[in-house]
Amino acid sequence: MKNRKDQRYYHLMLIPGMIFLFLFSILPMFGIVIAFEDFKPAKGVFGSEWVGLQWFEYMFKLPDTGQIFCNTLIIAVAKILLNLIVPLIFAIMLSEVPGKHFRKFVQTVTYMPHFLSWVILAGILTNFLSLEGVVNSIVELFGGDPVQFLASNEWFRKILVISDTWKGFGYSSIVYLAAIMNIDQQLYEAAAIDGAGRFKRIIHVTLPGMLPIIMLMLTLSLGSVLSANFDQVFNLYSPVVYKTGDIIDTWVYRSGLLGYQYSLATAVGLLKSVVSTILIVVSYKLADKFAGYRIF
Amino acid sequence: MKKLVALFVTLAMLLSVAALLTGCGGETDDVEDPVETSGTNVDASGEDEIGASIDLRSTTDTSNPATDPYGKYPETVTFTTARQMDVGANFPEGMDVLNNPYIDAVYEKLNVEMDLQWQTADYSTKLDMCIVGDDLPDIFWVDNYMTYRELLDNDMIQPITDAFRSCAGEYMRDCYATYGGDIFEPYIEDGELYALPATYNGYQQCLLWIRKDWLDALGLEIPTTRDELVEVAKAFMEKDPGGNGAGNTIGIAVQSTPLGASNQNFGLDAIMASFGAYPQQWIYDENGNAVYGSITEEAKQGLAYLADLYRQGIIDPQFATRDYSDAMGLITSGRCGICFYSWNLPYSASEFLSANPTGDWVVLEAPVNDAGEFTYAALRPDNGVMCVRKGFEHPEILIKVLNVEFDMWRGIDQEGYAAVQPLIEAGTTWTAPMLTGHFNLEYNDAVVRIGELTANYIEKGITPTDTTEYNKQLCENAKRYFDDPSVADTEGWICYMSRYIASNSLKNSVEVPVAFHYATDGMGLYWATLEKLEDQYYMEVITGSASIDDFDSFVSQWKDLGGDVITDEVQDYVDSHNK
Repeated sequence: MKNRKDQRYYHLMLIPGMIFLFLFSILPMFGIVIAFEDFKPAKGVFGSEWVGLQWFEYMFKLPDTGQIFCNTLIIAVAKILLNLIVPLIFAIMLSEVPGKHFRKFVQTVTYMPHFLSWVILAGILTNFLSLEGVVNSIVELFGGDPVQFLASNEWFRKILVISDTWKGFGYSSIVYLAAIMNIDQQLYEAAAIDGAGRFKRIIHVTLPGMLPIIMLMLTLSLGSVLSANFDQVFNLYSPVVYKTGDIIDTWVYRSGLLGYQYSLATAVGLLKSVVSTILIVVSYKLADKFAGYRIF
Repeated sequence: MKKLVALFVTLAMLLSVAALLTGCGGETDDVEDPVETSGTNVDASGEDEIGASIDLRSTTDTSNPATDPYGKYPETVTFTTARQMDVGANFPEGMDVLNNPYIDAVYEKLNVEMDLQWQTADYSTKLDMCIVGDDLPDIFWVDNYMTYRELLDNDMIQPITDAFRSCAGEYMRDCYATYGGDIFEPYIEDGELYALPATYNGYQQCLLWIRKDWLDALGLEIPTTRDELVEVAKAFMEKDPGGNGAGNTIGIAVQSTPLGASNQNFGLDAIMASFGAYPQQWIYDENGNAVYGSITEEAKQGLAYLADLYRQGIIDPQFATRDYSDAMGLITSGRCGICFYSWNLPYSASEFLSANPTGDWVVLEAPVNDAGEFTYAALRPDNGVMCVRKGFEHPEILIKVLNVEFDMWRGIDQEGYAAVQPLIEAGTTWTAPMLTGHFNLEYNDAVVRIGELTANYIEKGITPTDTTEYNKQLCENAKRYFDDPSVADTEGWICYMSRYIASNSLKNSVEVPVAFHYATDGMGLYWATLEKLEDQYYMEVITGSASIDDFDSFVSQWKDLGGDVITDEVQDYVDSHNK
């Protein structure tokens, strides 16, 4: 009973957060009705003409819808995979390195790009990848022909995925490092006594110990399978690489916000959310079934 | 006290009339002189110098403050407004948006107060929110034509015809007169003017800038045709007069969006224009019908030519990933000696002189077409409008506030001009303290007028007397550099190159009329798709990954995807708005 009384205060403390959530996340949800209207600001949400699924039909009739969806999926999935694997490997490697100070140093250095905005990074990348840039100097040093990476449909997606991973892997590895720290040291000692080498210990102790976190991260990231990172693409792309680089968000930006097509932009956003929600639910069920892992 | 203010107002008015009589700041030596058309009366009621399709002649009646350009209201009138935030406006100590000489003058002279409801960096979205909530300010800025149409169609703004006719001051009327009425047409509906357009003065078309010292070093002729230009570019790249090292000189500096408007700096529209092609502009075909400039036969020829230039490496091979500042870097660092830019290049390229102290430019109206003319597509004469909310009792306040502000800023009202000096000295963004935000009121030919002043001063020694201090300073700066270029002072170089050389190289350009600068309903739906199709195809052709032979299929695709619908809408507009 005493316990319950305590909880009452915790619930009270939750209220500001709940109000915030209600005001800024739940209430605006009603705004999605404009996805089914021909929304005109002057007529308002209630006065605009109801057009049903017109915007969704329009979206699927567009000649480049397929291209945009494919680009988004390819870029986003590649990013999800690399953003999972690279930080994971990095975290394991870092945890195996002796020397606390060295570890801290490496960690700090690798965090840093996470805090730079894409506007700045895009400028740096454009410079690095230009014909006179560092990368092409190296290419030429080994006798290759210089490549215009950011104006090449062959390279553009690769650049997006690699640079995104580079930017985020240091920061993402925090979670994995924490998970590794939580693994019982006795397990390692037991494995060592059983004759397991360093590699075997990683395979049989570290990885299984991290599995719940890996599943959690994967599940959470599946929600962003239709988000290929607007900031990054927008700052790096140009009409030459529309073929491989135009994603849903950049397209919505051009048609919806620059053209003031609120309804269309909302419809696309809604579609994205619906797909993401379905994916999250499915992956959560799968995680529960195959790894026995539940978040809630 | 009241008497003193009245005296002050009268004095200001007298001064402004005096300034007009002496040629409105001395800039009116050419074209139509307002003194002749409007006579010596403040209320010119004879000829309609504005030239719009409706009667906008003055109906000033000074007996009533509501019909008097400078009339003071007996009781304080407050109007609400909103504004785009000026980031980094640099106000002097103790001044801000709500407290500055303009605010004071409007209060003292008109007894009008401003109530600023909101200011934000994301103005258009916030304004749309206000439209949704039916919470519009009394007087507000609209820069999106579709938003204006929506306000009009939903009866949310009121006509300002009478307010304009009775209250437009001399300076305002003179400014609009230089636009020949075109500036008003999109905002006239059923014989009424529904918004006051902010002027975007002309003569901003890109000219050909070439390094003169490089031409001289190689003994080359000044080019006039596009093929001659190509020869010069080739010579610059091969013979490297700038000493950049072999293969390091760029032919023509171009940025990633090279086409679209005749004032697109670091663009290629001038080369297209030499074929009679005006991409992304609604021009007239030979029958007088509106046609989209990117799909014409001329555009095909021009595009093929650009692709050839790219293949030869004359257009910067990396232009697709160069933004404006990258292209500017090529110019200021001396890696490139050819670009297309408006008359004001030196203002943005001030680092050029320190990097290239002996660098000198020729500014040309080139390349010319087969008939020997340098043509450009007419620019939109306005860049937005001020609207007055329906139901606001004093629409004339918009006009009257502008009268007071611009008399001060242009130095017609000498005392007002003295009052704004602290702002000028502090380098404040000039629109930031104004009650009307980014609204500009300027002669269409202001650039040429000042060009003539500097030319007269430098060549004939005619000292500019009846003009603003600012203009006099420009002349002085230009002359200083002309007299002794070896001093290499940046201010002098900027004024000499832009105000003297470039501003006097604008006289033979032939303006090609544009049927439509605005937006239609269909554009909202189709434009993003069409724009992408066009941008992608054009860029791929120039960079060689698509063939010019597909041009016809590009055109038919463009038409099918909504281009035809929009063309019809534009034609409807043309039919209904052409006098």
